[in-house]
Amino acid sequence: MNAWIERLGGAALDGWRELSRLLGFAGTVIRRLFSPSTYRPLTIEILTMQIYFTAVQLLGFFVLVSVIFGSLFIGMTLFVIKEIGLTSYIGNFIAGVVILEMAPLATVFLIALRSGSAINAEMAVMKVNRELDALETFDIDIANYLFIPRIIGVMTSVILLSALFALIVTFSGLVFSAIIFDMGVNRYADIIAKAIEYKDFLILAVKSAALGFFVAFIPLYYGSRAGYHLTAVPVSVLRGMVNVFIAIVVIEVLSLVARFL
Amino acid sequence: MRPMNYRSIQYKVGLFIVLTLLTVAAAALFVAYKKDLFADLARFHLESDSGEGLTTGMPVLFSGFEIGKVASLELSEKGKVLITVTVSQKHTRWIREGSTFTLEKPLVGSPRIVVKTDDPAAPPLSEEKVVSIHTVDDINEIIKKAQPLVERVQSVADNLDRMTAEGSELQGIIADTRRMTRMLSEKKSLLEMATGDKRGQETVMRTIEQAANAAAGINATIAQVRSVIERADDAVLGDRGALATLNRILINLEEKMKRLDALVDNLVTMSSDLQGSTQDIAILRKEVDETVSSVRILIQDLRNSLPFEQKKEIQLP
Repeated sequence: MNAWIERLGGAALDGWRELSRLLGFAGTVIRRLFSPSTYRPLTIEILTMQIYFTAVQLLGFFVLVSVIFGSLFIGMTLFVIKEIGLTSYIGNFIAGVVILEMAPLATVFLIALRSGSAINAEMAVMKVNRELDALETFDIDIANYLFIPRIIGVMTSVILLSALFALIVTFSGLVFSAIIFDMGVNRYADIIAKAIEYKDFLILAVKSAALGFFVAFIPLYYGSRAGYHLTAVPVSVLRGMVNVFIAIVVIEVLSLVARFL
Repeated sequence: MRPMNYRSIQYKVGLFIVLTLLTVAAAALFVAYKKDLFADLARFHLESDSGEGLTTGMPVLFSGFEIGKVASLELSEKGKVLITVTVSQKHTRWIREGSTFTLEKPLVGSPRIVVKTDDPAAPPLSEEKVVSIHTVDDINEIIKKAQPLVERVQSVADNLDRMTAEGSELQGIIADTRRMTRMLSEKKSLLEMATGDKRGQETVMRTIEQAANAAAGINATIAQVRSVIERADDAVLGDRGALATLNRILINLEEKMKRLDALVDNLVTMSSDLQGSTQDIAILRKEVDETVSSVRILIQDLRNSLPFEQKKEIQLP
């Protein structure tokens, strides 16, 4: 019994120490984000490359997924709304569910799967090859050189792609509301515009930024903490992606709580 | 290390950022335009006894269409709630003298102010005038509708109370039942309880025994009658009974009648043939008569023609 309690206590302390390290490092990175000295030409160059890999290369596929997934989702939902007689709440549904919840969530999952895993594997391989040690030996700030541009790149990509997703799905809603409710463009635009608040733009941007930060930061953190063996790479990616998923869920829950409190 | 096509990547990334930001800005401007952010607004003043359910930003609807919203709420010097609503100039034509403003609190959904205008030709409502607002609360309406039902339920509950009260009929029935149960538990039988004393019970028991004896005698008689019936049944309906014999006789008779029918048919045929033969004999006789007559005539002719005839006289002695 005592041994079991000791194991539980040890696991809790380990978890707490790990979380403290993670959040402490996140705090350091956030402070660097707002420091002008961070942004050197090399950082800008890596940032540009990161946006290119994360958003521009993905753009075609992302638009396709947005159109297909968004259209299906909004078509079925509008049909159900009509069936249960809640037609007057179309605007609230599109603004509240599609723009503020679905757009950032769908975007961040796509980016986490594509770029988050890639960043995590890249860092872990750099660690195995002792490139990180070499950078530290040359007194190059890893946070400024490796972390910040990638984090800002992913954050920018998530914000812009979420906005794009929201616009595409809202446009799909126009098509489906015309088919299902025989609603004109003006009427639809009025309903959506009345339902959207100015603060919704800010909420979407802040939420996307938070999700983007953790989708980049957690893989970077776990990648840089991988062991020196090649077998440590998949373990690092696995741990990083699981924690990314947990972070997404936590941010989603916190945003919902913040919205409805 | 800078890639070879870095300038191209830079251009694509820049284009992506600029186009996306422009699209988002256009969407934001469109929303702002639709929200009448750039429109001229007219301000109307309403008055309510209570601020309950009122919030700034609450929509003002005309014919189910949002034409404005609540801009501010404040307490007037008279202790009433002063509501200022803003309506875009293009929609002020729907707000006239005599327009009614109703605060609707639906059961589902957020409250709103609904404008109704019966006479669109009436003069426009002055922005200086303060109009009283009515309140329609769905929950109160439901309570009002449910009130008769609640009263009936209350009445049923009162009746139940009265029925179960001390000294009520139901209590009397329960007391009687309890007394009856006690009596039943004290007596040896229900019969004793019904007759009141033990002798009565013995008389009833004796009567029942006699009735049982009589029933036994009746049963014996019935058994004898049944035996007779069974024998009669065998004599009449048995294999060698009267009914079976009669049946066999009838079958035999039926067969004989069939044969007799055939015989009669033959007789009829024979009679018919005989009748034909009789007619033929009559014809034959007639023909024979005619032939005999012809032969007689012929002989007469021959006699007349030929001197065959000699007088023979026989001399008698």
